[in-house]
Amino acid sequence: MTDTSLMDPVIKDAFLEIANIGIGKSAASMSQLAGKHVAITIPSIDFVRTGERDSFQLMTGTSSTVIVEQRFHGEVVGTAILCLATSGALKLASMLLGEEVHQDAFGEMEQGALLELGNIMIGGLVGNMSNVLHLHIGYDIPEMQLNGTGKVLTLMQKEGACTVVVNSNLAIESTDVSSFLLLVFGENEFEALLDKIRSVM
Amino acid sequence: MDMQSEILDAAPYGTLVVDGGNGILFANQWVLRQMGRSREELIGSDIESLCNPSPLVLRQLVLAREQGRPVILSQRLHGYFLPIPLPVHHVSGFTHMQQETTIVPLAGSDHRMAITIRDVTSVVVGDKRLKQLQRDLESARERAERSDRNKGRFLAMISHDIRTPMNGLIGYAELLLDTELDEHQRNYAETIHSSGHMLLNLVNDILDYSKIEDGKLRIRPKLFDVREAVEDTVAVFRPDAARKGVDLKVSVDGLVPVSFFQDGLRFRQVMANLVSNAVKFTDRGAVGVHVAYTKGYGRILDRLEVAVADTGPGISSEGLAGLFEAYQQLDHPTPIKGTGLGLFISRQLCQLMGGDVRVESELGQGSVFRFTVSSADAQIESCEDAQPMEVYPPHVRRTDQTDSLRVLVVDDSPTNCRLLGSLLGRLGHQVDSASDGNEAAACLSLKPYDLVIMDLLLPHLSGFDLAKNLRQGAYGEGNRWVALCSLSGLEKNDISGSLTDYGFHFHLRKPIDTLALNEVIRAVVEA
Repeated sequence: MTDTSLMDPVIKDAFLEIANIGIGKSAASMSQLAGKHVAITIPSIDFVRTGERDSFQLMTGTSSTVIVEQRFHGEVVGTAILCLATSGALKLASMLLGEEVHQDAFGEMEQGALLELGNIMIGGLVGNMSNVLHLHIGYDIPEMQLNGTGKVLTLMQKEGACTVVVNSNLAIESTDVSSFLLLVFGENEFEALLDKIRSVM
Repeated sequence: MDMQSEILDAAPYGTLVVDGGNGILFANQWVLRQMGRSREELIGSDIESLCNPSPLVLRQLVLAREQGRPVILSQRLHGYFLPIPLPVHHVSGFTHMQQETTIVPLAGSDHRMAITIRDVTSVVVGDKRLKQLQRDLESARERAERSDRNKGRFLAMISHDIRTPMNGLIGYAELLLDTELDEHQRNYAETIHSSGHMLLNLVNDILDYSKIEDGKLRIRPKLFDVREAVEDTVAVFRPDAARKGVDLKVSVDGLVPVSFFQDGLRFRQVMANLVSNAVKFTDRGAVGVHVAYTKGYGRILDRLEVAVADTGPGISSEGLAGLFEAYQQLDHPTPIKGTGLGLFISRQLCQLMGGDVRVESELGQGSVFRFTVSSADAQIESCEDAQPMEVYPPHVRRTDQTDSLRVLVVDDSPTNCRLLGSLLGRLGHQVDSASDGNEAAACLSLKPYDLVIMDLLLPHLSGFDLAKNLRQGAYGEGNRWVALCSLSGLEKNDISGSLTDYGFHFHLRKPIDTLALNEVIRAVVEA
């Protein structure tokens, strides 16, 4: 993989379009789920290479992060991760459940709800990617971790890893929550994905 | 039945397999048992008619099938997938079993999906109970804190209110002792006087304790004369020691400076507590007080160390544990009265003064209590002086300069008015009294005074308002700049609002200390 590929505006635009439509679908599902209108801002796309150790924390601006992680495999192999600052995750849970959720009351059932939400968000993005790029992808069961910063950093810092960072804000009623969807690929896997994008452009 | 089906039948959760048209291909024993159906009844039936899923769940099922990705249906958002009724009045309060459901598309092109259902009813109930417990705990904590604050306020208020009648008690006992009395009468008056002081000490301890609890105990350092402080403090206990035949000795190292920069009153308070204890617990032998000094260097501050050694009964190792905690009292053959707060307060005070208290003692070997205080940071001194500057001119005497002052005493307690009248009259001063702010205002409009002593909490017109009006010339120019002395059960620094801002020159705390009153009189006479 070359850094030139990552600088290619066509590649970036392709990811942006995939993300925009995918997250839009997720928002529709979430609106139905919450019974409230869920608006999602147009996402921004960034690429993060191995070795940029502080990138994740610089992005999320917090050391306490709730993550939902789901691996996918098939024609493209990678890991999709939804990252929310803990405060943001609590806000989101509160909005989804229609009641205030405090950190000390963040029980198993609230975690289950966030896992479902993460599954929808990831499904929207990766599902749309597989549709647009005509990829056959299988998924593992998603997992959730209350403090997942360490896990994300470990994945992102693997030799040759490239991460596509999709940042967008979820707005439910008057509250905004910043979310980060990461697609983490190995070097060869990312190269295969880029080839696929070039082939359909 | 093949091995996989046997394994699935033994699983403690539900498993269903549906085909591309949502027809049930397989249901394990858990599902059959919970649904009360036979396998034959379920196989081939439609999952939609069995579960009656919401449009959202249906959409998720379609997406899962189309995209081949798992779907999670959380209990918190959906409650349940399979409608499995719970007994009426189930302990959970739910009508149906609460479930976490995972729908996983299976490999292959026939769009089969495996549905796994986990019963989380008891988890939800546990979760709810835990949250309720957390809420109860939080609410209990808030109640306890509120009650603690109320207790502190009550203690402070009641202690303050006790000081007012004690003013009469101690003051009249002093006046009585200055009269012709026979031996019995003198004994009675002395007992009233000493009991009054004992009660006053208890009240002071309680006030200090409530301040410590509120984190409001403050140190006000100033230069004080070390030898004078030591001698004065020890002198108070000499009569008691002499009565018991206990030798009370004081020695001060030659290196101890004349003056030391720390809160002299609090230094005296700690020392008084330790010497009082030593005299109280020692029935024979001696009590020795030794004062030493260590010069500071670099960041180490100058330090005073006072050792109070006695030949009393000593303290067991059990007694030493927790000795400096609140409400600790030692076992003693004779009942010793006190709150058990003295050593606790002493330690807090020493720590606030940059030192500490420690004890060495063994049963039968006497005790040595040592306390240290460091010289305060010079910047602290400015705290008190940094109060708003006096905005009123110094007090002035009326024109006929004699040593006999005209004094107006304003207090709603007739006892206090009479007491102050007696104390001042005995010194040759002319005293008028007023029982409230309006009456005082009338007096001030009629004739000039040299000194006005006023309680701050007066009916109709508070002491603060009276002072403010006076300084604004509301009662004429004759008394506008008269010397003003406030009277309160509180210390000057505990009164909200700056007394000097209202034009007060002096403050007397109830019960009135005759020495402090004499100081005020002297300052006015010498003005």
